[in-house]
Amino acid sequence: MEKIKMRPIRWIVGAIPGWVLIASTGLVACDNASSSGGGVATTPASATAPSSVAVTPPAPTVPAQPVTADDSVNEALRDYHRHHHGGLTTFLSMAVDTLGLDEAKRASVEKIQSDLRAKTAPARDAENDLLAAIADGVAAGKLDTAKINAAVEKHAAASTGIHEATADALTQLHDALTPAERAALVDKVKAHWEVWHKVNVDEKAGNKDDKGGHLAQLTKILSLTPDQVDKISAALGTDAPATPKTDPKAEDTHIQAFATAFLADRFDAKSLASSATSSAGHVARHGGGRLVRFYAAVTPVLTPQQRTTLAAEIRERANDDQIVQASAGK
Amino acid sequence: MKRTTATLSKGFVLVPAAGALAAALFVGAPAAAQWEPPPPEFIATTEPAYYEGHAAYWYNNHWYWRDDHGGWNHYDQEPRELADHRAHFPPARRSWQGRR
Repeated sequence: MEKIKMRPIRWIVGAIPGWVLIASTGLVACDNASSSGGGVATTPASATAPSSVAVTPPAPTVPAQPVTADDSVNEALRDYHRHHHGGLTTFLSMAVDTLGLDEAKRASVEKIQSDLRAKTAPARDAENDLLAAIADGVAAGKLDTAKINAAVEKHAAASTGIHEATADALTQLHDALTPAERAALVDKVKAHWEVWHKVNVDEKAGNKDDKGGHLAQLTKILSLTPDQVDKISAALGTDAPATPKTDPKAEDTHIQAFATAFLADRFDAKSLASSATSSAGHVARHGGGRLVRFYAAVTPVLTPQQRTTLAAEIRERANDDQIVQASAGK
Repeated sequence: MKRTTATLSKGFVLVPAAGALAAALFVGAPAAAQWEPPPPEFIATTEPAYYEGHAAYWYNNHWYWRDDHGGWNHYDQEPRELADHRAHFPPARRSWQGRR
């Protein structure tokens, strides 16, 4: 009897945590709603301070334009970074192209950019020589290792003096931009570096299952058979380990140093001298070496027709600097 | 009567508990799935608009921007100025290869 009388009371006592849970969940939901409905939201992964952006009234309706994450422009950028290894100065020049400056400022910044490009011309020419040597080897059915290794080293050597040669242009660029534009430039440089790292370090060259990888790209261009893909994948095996002269970490340190210096009110190019020296030639050696290794593994597996097509593709990489306007709204 | 009271009491516990669990899942999980900041390929190839002291990118129907600490933010309600900007200057992207 006693037991039966107690049962409802025990369940009521058990209900209390449930109601407390509901109440707290409701509070969390209210809190989320207020932060997202107030005009601005922050990335969940970001452990940053709350933004100071003011709440803005609803905007007039503008037709939505879907912008997708993975498309031909992204793919073209990844392919660009597989074939070009100029490091920070290249990323800088590319970043300027998409800064979105107004007309008045664009002219003066483009002048600085031209100066920057002129100073890096020897390195670019050396890289084009490397691409031409690889293309010749592909067309001939065998890469001339000695000639190509010399071309990689020539490119790395040409990269060595770039920091000193471009210090004035970097200072001019810094002074021409507002703090917001500098931050955007740094963000873009880091984005290029991230893409370069993704396709030259993180991506496994012999991975035939990576749909966005270099081998998949080649399969599409040359209509490789499954047997050819298997042979190339086996020939590539595991990627070559980094050496003290090719380790991309040095370039990462240089880019971080650049970001810190460029975001400051006053740019001091000399503060980058140490990281510039430590990283000189690393990207050129790592990227160039990887490129040579890839095409050396691919070439023996191809038919003569495929080799001709691929050689032409590689030669065209020398024209990648000619920027093409992509369709707006993508 | 006692049995009815006991059943009702169980209901008071089970229904709220199930509701709380569902609410917790509903509130927590979709927050990350609803939006993701633009990938580096997008930042590298797209012109931003400058608004309130930072570069903003129109991506997947939202404007995204970084705060001073490097974290990504987005506006749930599109600011009027950015909407006007988008109406006059559709987001431009650039490609370093035009053939593919």
